[in-house]
Amino acid sequence: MFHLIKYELRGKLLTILGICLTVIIGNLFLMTKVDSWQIGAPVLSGFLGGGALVVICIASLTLMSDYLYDDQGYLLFTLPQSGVSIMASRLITAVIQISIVMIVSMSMFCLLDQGRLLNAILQQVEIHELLYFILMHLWTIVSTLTFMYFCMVVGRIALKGKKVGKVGSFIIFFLLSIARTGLSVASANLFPQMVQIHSVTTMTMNVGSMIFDIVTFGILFMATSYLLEHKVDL
Amino acid sequence: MYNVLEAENLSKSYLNKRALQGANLTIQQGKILGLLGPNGSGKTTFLKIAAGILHPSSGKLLIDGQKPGVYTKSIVSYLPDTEYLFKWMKIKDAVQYFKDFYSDFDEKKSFALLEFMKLDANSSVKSLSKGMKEKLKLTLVLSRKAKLYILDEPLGGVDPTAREKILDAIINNFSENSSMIITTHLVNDIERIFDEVAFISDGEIVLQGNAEELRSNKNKSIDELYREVFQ
Repeated sequence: MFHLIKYELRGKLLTILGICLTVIIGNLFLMTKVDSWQIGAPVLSGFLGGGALVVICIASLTLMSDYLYDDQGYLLFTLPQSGVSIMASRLITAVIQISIVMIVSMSMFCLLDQGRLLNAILQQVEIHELLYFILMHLWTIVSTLTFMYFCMVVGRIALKGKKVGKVGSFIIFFLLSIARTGLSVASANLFPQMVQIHSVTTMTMNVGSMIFDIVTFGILFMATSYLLEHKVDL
Repeated sequence: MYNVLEAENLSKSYLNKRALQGANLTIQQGKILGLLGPNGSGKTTFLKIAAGILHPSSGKLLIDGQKPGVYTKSIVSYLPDTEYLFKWMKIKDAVQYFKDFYSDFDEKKSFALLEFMKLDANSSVKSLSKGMKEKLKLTLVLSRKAKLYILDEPLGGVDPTAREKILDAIINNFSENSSMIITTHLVNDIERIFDEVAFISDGEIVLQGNAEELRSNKNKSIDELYREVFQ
């Protein structure tokens, strides 16, 4: 699995570098305009970081679609690797590349902002809360991508053609998202207990939704791994 | 001598097409089998099932006694008829890739083969011509000590000189402990290396036998026999 991650990251190296350089150059330009643009510069820096995240998230989705629809699939699916290894490596690679872009974007924002926002946050937030935010960030990436990868793989298996498969995956994603939201709400109603995350603010987490998300992730991860290993036809 | 590959009533259907219809085929250890047939006869479908990247609709295919999966992928060395290497790779990266993923990969042999094929390890994969890419793919595939080699059109799109080079590489690097399946349209060029041949038509194996026996029984070369069967 380590080797899969290594080659995935190597393959996306230019994309990651390109996005990071764009963010750095964009922020350096904004730094020259801080005095004249006032609040506009950090706002634009935020947009720049957000845009960079969208691009890297799309690149993370292509991690899977390249293998499902292009000739590169012959390289991956003839390796003696289990579906779980393939799936886990894809997710870890995505987390690493999204985190790199996020760290670069946030660092540049802090430099532009001269650390004002960061200081304000650190004064309010305790260390365990910061860890919670980081874990939630990783969890959001992993669970969202797992859901999307599942839809892509089901679309590929059910609808063989490239265009039809991609459109089909989107429709499956749309329909399953509705079903998932409905079930999540039902779980929250079934287990309405709340866990308080933050000692000062009213930040809470619903137990039912949390259990539902974890169970859904487990099922989708194993199902996608199984489908990749046993059902995908090239 | 045991059967490295056994296929029994193997079928593969797509929505409106049956690519394989109850194909039966066996390959013994130490043999090179030529799987011959016209376009759309089911050759590649059969090879893809054996390589573990396509799943049969019905029937059974066993490699070393196992269904295609993680284990069989570790003992099968497959040369597909596609340009599957990453475009960012240099030749030496592709060698390293195979070394990282296949425990039976022989790095020394790969560099010897690269030299034989006159390929520079520092060349970029995307800068290679079709013939050179074919040579590189074959170098990677033959550098493994696999139990079964599956070569899908190894001579496709390469010039006659390169064909000779590729054939020499196949012959020189084939071990008696291994087996090999080769598909090709260029029967005349390659028939000398076949121990066995199987003719496939419309997804069915219509004729299979020892290459030498077929030649002497029918008093024809395999190429002539091929033309007769598929005329």
